[in-house]
Order: sequence, then C-alpha cells, then structure tokens
Amino acid sequence: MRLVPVILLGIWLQVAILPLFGQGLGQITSNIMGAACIADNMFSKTIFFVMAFYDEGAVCLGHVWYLGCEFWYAAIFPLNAALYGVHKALGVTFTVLLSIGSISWCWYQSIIHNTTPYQQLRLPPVMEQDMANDTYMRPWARYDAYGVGILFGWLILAERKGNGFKNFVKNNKIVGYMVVIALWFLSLFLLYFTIFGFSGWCFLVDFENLWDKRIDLYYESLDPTSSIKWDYITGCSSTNDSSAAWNALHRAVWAFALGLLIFLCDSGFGFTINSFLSFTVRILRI
Amino acid sequence: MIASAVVFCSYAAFLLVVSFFPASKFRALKAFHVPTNYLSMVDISRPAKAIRCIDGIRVMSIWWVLMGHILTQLFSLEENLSEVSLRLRENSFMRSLVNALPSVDSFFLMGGLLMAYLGTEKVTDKTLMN
Repeated sequence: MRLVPVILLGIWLQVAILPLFGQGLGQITSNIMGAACIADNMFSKTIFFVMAFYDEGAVCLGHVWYLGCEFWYAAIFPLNAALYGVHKALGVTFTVLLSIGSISWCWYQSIIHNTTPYQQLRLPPVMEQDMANDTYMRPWARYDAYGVGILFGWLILAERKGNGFKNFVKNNKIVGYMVVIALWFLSLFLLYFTIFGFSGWCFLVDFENLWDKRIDLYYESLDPTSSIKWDYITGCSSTNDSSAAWNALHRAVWAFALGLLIFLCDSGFGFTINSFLSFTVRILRI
Repeated sequence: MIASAVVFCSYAAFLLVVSFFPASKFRALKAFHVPTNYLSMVDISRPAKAIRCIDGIRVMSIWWVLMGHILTQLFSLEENLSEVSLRLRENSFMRSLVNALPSVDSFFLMGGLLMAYLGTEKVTDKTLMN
C-alpha cells in the first residue's frame, strides 16, 4: 500500500503533464497510456492491482503490471509459509507445484501459438490481439521465478540458522571447494546462456547463408502453419518444440542461476563478486 | 493546465497536512507521511540479517531495465527495424542490453527470496501450528 501514492503521482503525470510536451520519443505509448487511464475504469483497476486479470492488461501506466503480478504472489505467500511451518516438504511441494503450473502455461501457449524463442514476446503483429493468452503480464505466467525465489529464501534462512553448507565446505576442504567452484560455474554458465543462448547457439541456424535468407525466414515465420520460427532480434530460427521448451523454462533457469549466486555470496563464498555486489557508497554518512 | 495545477496543489496540500502530524497519529495514512518515507529511503544502514549482495543485483537490474526500454522505444519509431535488428546481432553487448527481459525475473526472484527470508517466521509464529 505504500506504493499507492507514487502510483497516483505517476498516473497524474501520465494523464495531465506528459501530453503537454507533444510528440516525441516514447510519447506515442505515453499518450496511449494517458488516455487509457481515464477510460474503462482502468484507473481503479491499476491502483487495486487487478489489471492483469482483464484483457486490456496494464494499459494505464503500463509499467505497473509488475506490481499487479507481485501483489498477488505476496497475497498467496502466507499459505506457502503456513504449509512450510506445518512441514518443510509440504511448503516446498506447494511452491514447486505452483511454479510448474506457470511453466506449463508458458509451454502450452508457446506450442499453440507457434511462438518464436525470443524471450517472452510474441511477434509484434500477433501480440495485440492475443492478450487473453499472454505469457508476459499475466500473474499465472510468471510465478516460476517468484517460486524459485521463495525456495532460495528458505534455503538461505536454513543456512543462516544452521550453517550447514559452510560447515560442509570447512570439514571437507578439497571436495567442499570443488563443489563451490562447480556451483559458481553452473550459476554463471546459466546466466550467460539465458541471455546469449539463442543468439549464438540456435537450434536450426544456417549461419553461412544467414544474411541472404533473413527475409525469407522472417516472412515464413509469420505464417502460423510454418514449423520454422525466426527471431528477428537475435537472428535465430528454431522448431516449435525447441522454442516451447525455451519459452517455458528460461525464466525458471535464470531465477535458479541468480538464486544460486545469491546463496553462494551470502554463505561466504562470493569472493570478489560478493564484495562488488555488496559495495556501498557512503556519501550520506560523510 | 489549470485542472492539473489544481489536482497537484490539492495533492501537495494533503501531503503537507499529513506530514505536519507525527506518523504515529495516522497509521492508515502512513504511506502519505513524507518525512518517514524520506528517512527510510535515504537510510543506507544495513542490519546483520540483510543479504548484502542483493543491493548490487538490484542496481544492475534497474539499469538494465532502463537501457532496455530506451532501446526498444527507439524500435517503435524506426522504419528500417528489420535492418537495425539484424545489425544488432553483430554486437553481443548491445544485444544483451536490448534483451533486458530477464531483469524482470531478477526482480521476481528477489521479491520471492526476501518474502520467504523475512516473512516466513512472521507467518509461522502467528499460526496455531507452532
């Protein structure tokens, strides 16, 4: 609720102030959002974080869609925590099941819509008419990253109490540090792969004739019956199954890799990366 | 213009009135209490319980989101979009900046992680199970 004043200020800027500056970079979307705030009750839907449940989506103050998702995850969280309190396995199972639910939703939507592998976005011509099946702004499409976060939160909580991982590394020095190094490699590799995975290592790319083939591939991928997908940002093509696997899993994989990084940093094996990420500029205290 | 000035002035007056009283007086309006919010915003002290490396990840993710939006806003105005997109393929740093979508999942991860780390004991202590 502490964010509501800021959101109100944002909507006011969007509706009353930004249109005064006329057209320019970003103004087109900004004006559309400003007009949407005063139509179709989008104002109240936005400040009560229910816009993700309507087909219009977050048209008023678009960036708030994120809060529209996280609000509902936080609303469910007491159930996760209560189940974790009854038995740890029960809480973990519930969280994993919810995450699998959103992974399955993304996989299913990717299959039936013949989606490209470019992260979460469909091809622009399809996106507008397809909000009902959206995998980007809908709360049920995004739970996997949050669920992985909850699992790592519980892991760090247990580690801070019992120091299990720290003691394991101390007691088995060689094996322990080998495990730490392996986890670091796994984390950094998955982070790298989620960003660049489809740029360099696509599943079905003819690199030699890429430049000549680009327009044909692009138009072929627009045809919904075609099995070939062409991502015009990263310049990759793939099959329906491989892009569905990517679209379903890449968020959970990214969250897992980053969660592992946070866990390693917090349990004292972050080395230089931890000191870089924890760096504080103490200007205000001087 | 006048209407917007009136809205802004009444909002500012409302904030002033709320901020004039101590925060404890109106618990329901605490969100509008400027001094409390300002002090908590500029406070850089971190308790021992804090997961310190999250701060750095948060800063990098914010910058990534900003850069990604700036670049994709440009896309909406370009007429030679397919040409520019294909050229972007040649520069891996630019390509990673445009592909800012994982940063959203970083925020979801941090939200879930902090919620579980800080909120679990609050919920389990209050339930009848313990």
